[in-house]
Amino acid sequence: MGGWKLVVFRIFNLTLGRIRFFSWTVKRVIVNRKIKSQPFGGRYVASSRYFDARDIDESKESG
Amino acid sequence: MIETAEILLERVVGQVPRILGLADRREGSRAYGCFDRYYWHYKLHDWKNARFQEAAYLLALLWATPHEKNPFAGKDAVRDWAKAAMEFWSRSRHRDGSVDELYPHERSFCATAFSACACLHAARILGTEPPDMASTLRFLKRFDNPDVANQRAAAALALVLGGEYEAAAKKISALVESQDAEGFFPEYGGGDIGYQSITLGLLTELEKSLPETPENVIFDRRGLAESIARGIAAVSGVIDEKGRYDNRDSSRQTQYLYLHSFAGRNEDVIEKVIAGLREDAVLQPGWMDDRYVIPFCADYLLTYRALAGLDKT
Repeated sequence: MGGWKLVVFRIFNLTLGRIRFFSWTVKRVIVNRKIKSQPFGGRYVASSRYFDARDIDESKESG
Repeated sequence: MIETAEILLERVVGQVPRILGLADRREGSRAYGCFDRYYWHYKLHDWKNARFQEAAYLLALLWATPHEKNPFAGKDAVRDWAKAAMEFWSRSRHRDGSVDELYPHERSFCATAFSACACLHAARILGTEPPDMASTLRFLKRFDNPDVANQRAAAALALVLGGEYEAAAKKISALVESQDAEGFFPEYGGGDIGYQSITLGLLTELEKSLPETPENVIFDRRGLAESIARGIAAVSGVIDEKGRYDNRDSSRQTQYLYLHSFAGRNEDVIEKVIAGLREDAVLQPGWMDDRYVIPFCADYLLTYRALAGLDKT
């Protein structure tokens, strides 16, 4: 493919790329504002815990 | 040797709580089984790094390694988390069977190869059915990376584990041919000791995984064994008494040394690394970042199992 078709194709791809980047940026801002509005900023909820040795203790119920 | 090698198991077990902390272990969560904490918890990334799912293999190995210093052996929870890691990996794939590592829609050959190996190994150890691998194996057959031997070796291993012997034999043959006169496999234009040790570890696993009598496919087992031996010889001479080496001339300037390939071939190197571990003088799994602590732990555990005679189970 060459000539004017190549030029049109490249302009199309550049434009599409810019649209995708802009929409991704908007999405990141929306997602992160939503997270921040949650209690404790949304990223430190109690259920997202680190490993607890009781998780593999089969002799009693885990915490 | 086995008594001194316990330090390898200890260093792995010491990292497992951290690795488990990377995982979403809440049953019913949409990200249950995801080990990429930056994705499911911190939401810093819009995509999952599939390499974290290699934890499935590490957990399966832990589950299958009985030892008084391994509290994870035989535990149902550990087996369930390994299965969850495999299932999350399977759901994360693109339609062509590939996965992403560094950016969305990457379709990474490297991540697909390594994570596929991990899931196939884990399924075998746990005695469960692996995810449907057809699309992933097609992807690995279709693509290659001749500049990066460790990725090619991982792809070859995944193909062997998945039963695609003809395609695996081609990749193995190409890999052996790419070895230079000194015994180094290519890593972006030169030899690299750390990645060489990864490639050798993968080829060691591959050698152990080759079927006895595959249909219509002839593996050059002798050529593979000689290639591994040459690769080990290339590395062994540059390791100091504490398991370290000068990485300044390595093509990728890695600092670590994977040990599995040295078990049964040159255990002096393992002894040197153990000496370095005792003094905390050598790079070890606990010093690695969250991405690479997982496969490095798996390598140490594979090494321990080989030395303890457990690698037939």
